[in-house]
Amino acid sequence: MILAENGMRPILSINDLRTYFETRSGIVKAVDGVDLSLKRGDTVGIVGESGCGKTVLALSVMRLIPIPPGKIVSGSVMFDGVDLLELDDEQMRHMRGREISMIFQEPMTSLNPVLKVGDQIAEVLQLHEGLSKRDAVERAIEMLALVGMPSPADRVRNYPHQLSGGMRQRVMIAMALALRPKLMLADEPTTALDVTIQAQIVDLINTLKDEVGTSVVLITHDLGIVAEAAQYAAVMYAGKVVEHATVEELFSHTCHPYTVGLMESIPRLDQGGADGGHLKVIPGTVPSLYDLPRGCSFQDRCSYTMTICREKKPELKEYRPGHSVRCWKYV
Amino acid sequence: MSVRINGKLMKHSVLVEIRDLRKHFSVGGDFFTGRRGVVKAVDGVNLEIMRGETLGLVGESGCGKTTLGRLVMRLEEPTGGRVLFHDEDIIQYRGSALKKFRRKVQLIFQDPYMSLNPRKSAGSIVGEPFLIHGIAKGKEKEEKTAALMEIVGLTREQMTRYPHEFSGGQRQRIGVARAIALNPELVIADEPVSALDVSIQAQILNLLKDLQADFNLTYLFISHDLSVIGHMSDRIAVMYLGKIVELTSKENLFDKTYHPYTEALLSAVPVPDPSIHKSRILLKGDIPSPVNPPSGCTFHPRCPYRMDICETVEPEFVEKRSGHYAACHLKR
Repeated sequence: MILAENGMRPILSINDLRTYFETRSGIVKAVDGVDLSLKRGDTVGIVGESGCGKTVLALSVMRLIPIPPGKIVSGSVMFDGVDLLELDDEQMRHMRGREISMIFQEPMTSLNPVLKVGDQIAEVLQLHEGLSKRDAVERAIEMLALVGMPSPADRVRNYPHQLSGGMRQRVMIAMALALRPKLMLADEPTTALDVTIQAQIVDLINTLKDEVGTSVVLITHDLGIVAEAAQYAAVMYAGKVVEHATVEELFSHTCHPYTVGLMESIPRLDQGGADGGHLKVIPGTVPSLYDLPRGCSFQDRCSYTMTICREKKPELKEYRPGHSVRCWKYV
Repeated sequence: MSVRINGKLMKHSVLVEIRDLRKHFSVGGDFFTGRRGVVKAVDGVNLEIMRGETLGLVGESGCGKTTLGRLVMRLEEPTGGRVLFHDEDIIQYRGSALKKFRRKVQLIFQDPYMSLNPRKSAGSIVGEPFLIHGIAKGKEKEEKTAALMEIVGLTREQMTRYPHEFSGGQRQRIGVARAIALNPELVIADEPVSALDVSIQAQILNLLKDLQADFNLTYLFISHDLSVIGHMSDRIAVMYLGKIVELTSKENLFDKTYHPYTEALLSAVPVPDPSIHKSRILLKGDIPSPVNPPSGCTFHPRCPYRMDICETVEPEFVEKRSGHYAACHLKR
């Protein structure tokens, strides 16, 4: 499914990607047939709760899934015309950092605690661009300034534990953008941060994206962040994309019952903190990925379940222009 | 004092009175300077919690909100100031008086994965308060425990299961059951839903609302999440670096803010509506370390409206309009 206009090739096009994990308790279909595309210069928000497969999706694109127990069973990941799944280890290593980079949720556990942050950024430049240590550190200082770090020349000498969460995340962004990659995957980049710092980081990602010319895959559970930072959104549930649309469409014409449920269950400030008493809740919990039901995975929690929902899995189909839904209600 | 609860203006008695409360921790070997420092975690807080209300306490990391909650429960001893519960200074409680106090004030923790003893069954965890306070044992305890499990949306069959067999949301329900076991008057909920997925958050928030109505509970609801605080609270206190910077009813707060930090907090919350293009107030810099708070108004380095006086004189916490208090030199 391609969202590109004017015949422009999307920077990223994922087709029927399946990543499974073989465990003693059975096979976990963490990503189970995902289609996604991203236009150059855009941000796509991948929304979903724990266990929906969004992180495994990102790691699959980066080819960072541990194999075994993981296995990319089928599908293709077309990045600027090249299928990443067809590359060998050497070619993929060349891609990472230089063409595609990733920032992770917990900046503390993603940065090497025993290396100064300047050295960690420099490492990227030394490895991929063959810079000398001294030149690489100079560039690292420039990158830190670019990401809004106060006193960058001092900060390069700090260790991660000496920096706040927001600052560490800026370091991660600096590392991710050091080589001006075409695509950046950001996995919950603001979740562990305070809300005023969150706002700074979202703003930073938006600004840098344009300056550096990077397209962004932004993974989050926060619909507010999607509304602010993304042009397109894909909602994931139990390993599949259940709704994919422009952000305006997603919020103004929400289709999939899970997405509707999510939107209705969030307390919202823009409603003046209205005391409606109760939040509308999606009953039940996500099914175990070891034991997905036959038919639609959302059947036990959905208010509209029909017989067909319990028998056949719905496909992702375009329901309105630029808006696809995986649901029998919309067929 | 009158408080608007569920839209109705009610005269309510003061359950907890906090007067000039301070809690300072000394820290050894600050890694920036190597000097021993003092963390003024709570630095002169004056607050009242009215019976029956939900008082929301909002602030970001390091503002002191958790420490304040713990002081109210006497899990920490204050460095200065007082906490009065039913007009009695809780610091003087000993022995059976302290035990009696403990029954009346309970805590729900943030982390459902760390706040339950992994070696105790759910029933054992929820029923423990009955044993500790000599309220019930044996069959009677089993019955009371089973009833509690059902009240929070679990089943009595689940009493024999261990924490690791429950999801995050279910574990939080166990924590809630434990907290209400003794019919407390005040429940301090410290970030009770922050670790939970969005759809589970909604379930737990609804549960807390129901329990408040059914059991006449008063809540001190601590969170960094303004949307959640806005949904749950009658009144909201905003905390920054150990001090309350703004305090008023929810309606007042969403109508107008007097403190720039509150304004920035409200503006920073991402709204799930792409058609709303907020002009965001982006604060410069990071939250300062509580070991080295800035002079004058502790917010001044990050304040977009900073004036000269802000760098040197600490603003007083005054009533800006009826029922609306703030500590800020600005005239709004």
